[in-house]
Amino acid sequence: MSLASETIRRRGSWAPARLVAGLLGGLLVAGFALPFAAFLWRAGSVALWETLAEPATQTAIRNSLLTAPVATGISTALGVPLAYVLARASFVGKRVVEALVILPLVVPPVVGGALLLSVVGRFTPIGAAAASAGVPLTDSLLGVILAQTFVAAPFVVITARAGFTAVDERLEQASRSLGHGPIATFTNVSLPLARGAIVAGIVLTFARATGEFGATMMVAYNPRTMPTQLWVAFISGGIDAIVPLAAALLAITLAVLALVRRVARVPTVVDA
Amino acid sequence: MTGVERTHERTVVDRDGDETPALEVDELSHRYGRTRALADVSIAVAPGELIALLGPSGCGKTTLVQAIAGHLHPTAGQVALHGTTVTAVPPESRGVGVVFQQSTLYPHMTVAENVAYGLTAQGVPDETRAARVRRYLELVELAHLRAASPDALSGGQARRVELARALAPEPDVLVLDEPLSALDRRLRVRLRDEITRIQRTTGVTTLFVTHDQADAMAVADRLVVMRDGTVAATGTPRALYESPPNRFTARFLGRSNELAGRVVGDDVDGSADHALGSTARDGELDMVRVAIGEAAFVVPDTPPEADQVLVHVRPEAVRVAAAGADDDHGTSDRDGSDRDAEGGGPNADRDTTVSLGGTVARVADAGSRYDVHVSLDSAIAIDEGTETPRAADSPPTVTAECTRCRLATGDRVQVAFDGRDVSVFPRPTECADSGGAGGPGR
Repeated sequence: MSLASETIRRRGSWAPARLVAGLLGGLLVAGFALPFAAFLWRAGSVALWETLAEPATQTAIRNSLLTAPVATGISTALGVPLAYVLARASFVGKRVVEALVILPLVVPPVVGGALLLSVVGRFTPIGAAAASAGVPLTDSLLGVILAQTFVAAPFVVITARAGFTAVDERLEQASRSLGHGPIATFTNVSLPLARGAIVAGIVLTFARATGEFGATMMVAYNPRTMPTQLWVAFISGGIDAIVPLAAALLAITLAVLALVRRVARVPTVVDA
Repeated sequence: MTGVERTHERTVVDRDGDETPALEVDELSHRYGRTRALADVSIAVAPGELIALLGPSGCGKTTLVQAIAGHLHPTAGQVALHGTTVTAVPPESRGVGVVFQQSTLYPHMTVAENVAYGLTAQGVPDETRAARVRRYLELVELAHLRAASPDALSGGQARRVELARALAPEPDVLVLDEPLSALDRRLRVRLRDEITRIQRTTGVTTLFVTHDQADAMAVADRLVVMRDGTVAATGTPRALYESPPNRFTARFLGRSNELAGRVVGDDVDGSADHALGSTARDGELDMVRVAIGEAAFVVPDTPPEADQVLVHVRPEAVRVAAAGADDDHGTSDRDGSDRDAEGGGPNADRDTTVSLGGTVARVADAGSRYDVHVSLDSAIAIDEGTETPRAADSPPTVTAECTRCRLATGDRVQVAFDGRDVSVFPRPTECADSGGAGGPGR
């Protein structure tokens, strides 16, 4: 009896705090939801399909669907091993490596693009050599991939690293003691157990690469990807002109997210 | 390895140098930065032997396990398996099975897949593999759970699956690193019997690492007691319990009374020699006369280097009787008549036994026995095995075990114990031995 009244009293004392927290959080949620709703409402009133059928838009969509998966693939192939090393090994200069990985996240994308240009720009040794060999690193799909990888790769590295760190090292030691070498142990034990985090990292990387604008604009304004085309359309036609493409971009990202969640059974990107 | 039950004899077989040890650790040292974890540890484990590596937390046990399994490269020293040095060999090529304290079953595999995991590395053909998995799951009596997920297992079941997984590749040496620590008491006792049975059945050379002296003594053919990165004692559980070579071992292997005494002579007259029976009569045994307070008695022990000593005696070796009652009757639960029968006569008997007066401070009912805590009139008890140092001015106490005594707090009593049940150590100077590192009550 006394226990029940105690519970009630406690709940009562907590109610105002919850109310305040709820109100504050509600404001933020409204801040997310309102633009979304307004945007969708607008999308209903513009010529969605006609715009999407235009050649410039089609090219932009095709370019984005071509470059973002490649950038994500490169980020994953190079980033997951790096994440594993960062999670397990200790070596001289590890701090420097960690700082470098985070750098693209904290540097504004436009600045990131400038950094890239200073290495692969047309008048740099590397850029010039590549251009004369017929694979220009600027104003090309390759340039787009470069920019997207630079900006988006840290997501998979950081997320996968957290995933590997969460795997008890003893599980790997047990695998070694059961006769499996380091590589077999990585593929049999570490990788499957960190899968959720890795998949989450890949999704984040893909979303970031698809939406990449700042660095891409600097390195490869042409050929257009969806974000650069969005910018061009916005400058010439205002907000209504970009609604169809923006909706398409949103749809692609959400579709990939939903697909990955379904296939990889990762509960939520944030949780994983 | 066969399924044939091994005979029990091997536990008492004298292991002389003919046999190459299955596992030999030679002067192994390891440092983590500046911290010393192991210092010149040497251990030899004979094939088929079950050794318990016993020591308090932080004494270097886990570092030793990691070095033996190959997950750590020691700063100095060698590890050899069947005479082959493997110090630089990676863990996957060693043939050392490991079971860790925490479960390391793979949650993304079934029980059977977990047990089969070590066999896939060896390239065992599918059919043999399936048969082997079945055999080892049957050995741990969990064949019915082969398709289960590790998440669905109870704590004890998970341990047994892990044991099966470690054994299935038929390793040369099995290392169990605190395998029972995460389990509750009842399960622990059951599982350690299970481990003993499985070890007897498979005959695998086993190193059982634990901080629990009861676990260690229950399973082991031989004990290695570790302290601060060094080996403090090696021997059979019984020998180490009854005649510990040092104070740390005495305290760590069970409850212990410690009384301050002094050596009053290392020569003994014939009567004591006579009284101590045949073991003393061969003339090879050392004798030392020790005084506790006013009372002196003869201890068949090597004279310690110091005159100031600690007399160590187990509570079960202490007799307690109401004052005035004959020592061998009344409330004592020890039968003293066999001593008399040895023919020493009353005088000699008194000389090998010490009797101290005191008052019952507390009687604790431990179910199968009573623990009688006696405040002594004289003598100085250093402690009774607790970790907290006693206040200097509180009365010295001795704990005695008895099963039938009817004593109450405040009763005047005599406590007595025999020289043969006593070990004598040099008394540490103040602070020199502050690292008593874990009393038996842990």
